[in-house]
Amino acid sequence: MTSPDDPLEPLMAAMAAGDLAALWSFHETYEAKLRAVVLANVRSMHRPDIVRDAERIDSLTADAAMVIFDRAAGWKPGGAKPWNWAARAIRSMIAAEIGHRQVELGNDDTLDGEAGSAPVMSDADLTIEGIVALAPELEPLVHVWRSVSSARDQEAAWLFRVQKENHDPSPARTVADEFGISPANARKIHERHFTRVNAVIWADERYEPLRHWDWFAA
Amino acid sequence: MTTSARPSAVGPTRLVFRMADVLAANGAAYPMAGALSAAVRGRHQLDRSEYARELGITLEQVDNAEAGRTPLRLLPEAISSRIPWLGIDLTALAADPAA
Repeated sequence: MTSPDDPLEPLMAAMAAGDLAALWSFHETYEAKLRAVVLANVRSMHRPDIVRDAERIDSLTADAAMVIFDRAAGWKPGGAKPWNWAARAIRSMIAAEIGHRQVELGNDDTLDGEAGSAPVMSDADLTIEGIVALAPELEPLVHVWRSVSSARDQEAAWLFRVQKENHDPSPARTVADEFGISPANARKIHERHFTRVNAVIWADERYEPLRHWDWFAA
Repeated sequence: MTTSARPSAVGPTRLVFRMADVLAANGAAYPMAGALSAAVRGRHQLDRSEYARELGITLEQVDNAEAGRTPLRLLPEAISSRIPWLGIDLTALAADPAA
């Protein structure tokens, strides 16, 4: 929520109307918040070289303000802060700016039984549907993942899991930054969601193939 | 308005370029001049009317400047004299020869 003295809501309204002066004010006023989001994203993308490059971070921070300007009309007063609300768009912009890293999904015992055949993925593929597109045998995972909690918790738990697989030193913080929640809450959401998914996989024979994946192996 | 220099010109300069991109996409004749003018008002954090009153210029001058309809050399002095305080890299102006 914003306080009566907080200029956030009028600035967002002015940006929604296309006022570029408001964009400048927004960047000046909330630069520290935007920078924190940018840094968290760059860290989670394992680019310490860019984290140390102050000018590059300044540049990405300005671009993050622009991302919010472009979407300001869709923001609802009283909701999540704009930098949290637009977290995914900011992350996509950063990935596009600094280049997609290539990561391997950590399931080398895989469903096709070939060690070392784990799909190589880019950031763009890191959604649950993106992973299934690369490994269709994981399709049951979409069903079970999408069935056990709210849409937000599904996304938060998925991001937590993917960040963990990517050796993010603090997946809880990354998820917290993206969803505007506390790291403790992010951990709790992941644990609750993952426990439910695991229970369904081991209780329902339709999900038997998933039991061989190292995420769920006994 | 604060007149202290910013620690780095990179972010503000980048932002002015992006603002100029928006104006250029809208067909502005002088996008960099428009972006700089909007940035000056953004620094003041005033709406157009209050800003025009404070600077002693007309609302029409403000609108023309911020829409990129006024070349840099013809901007009201009340606006152009404030551009150096934006903390941007002024060589950026070279990117907009029409300004």
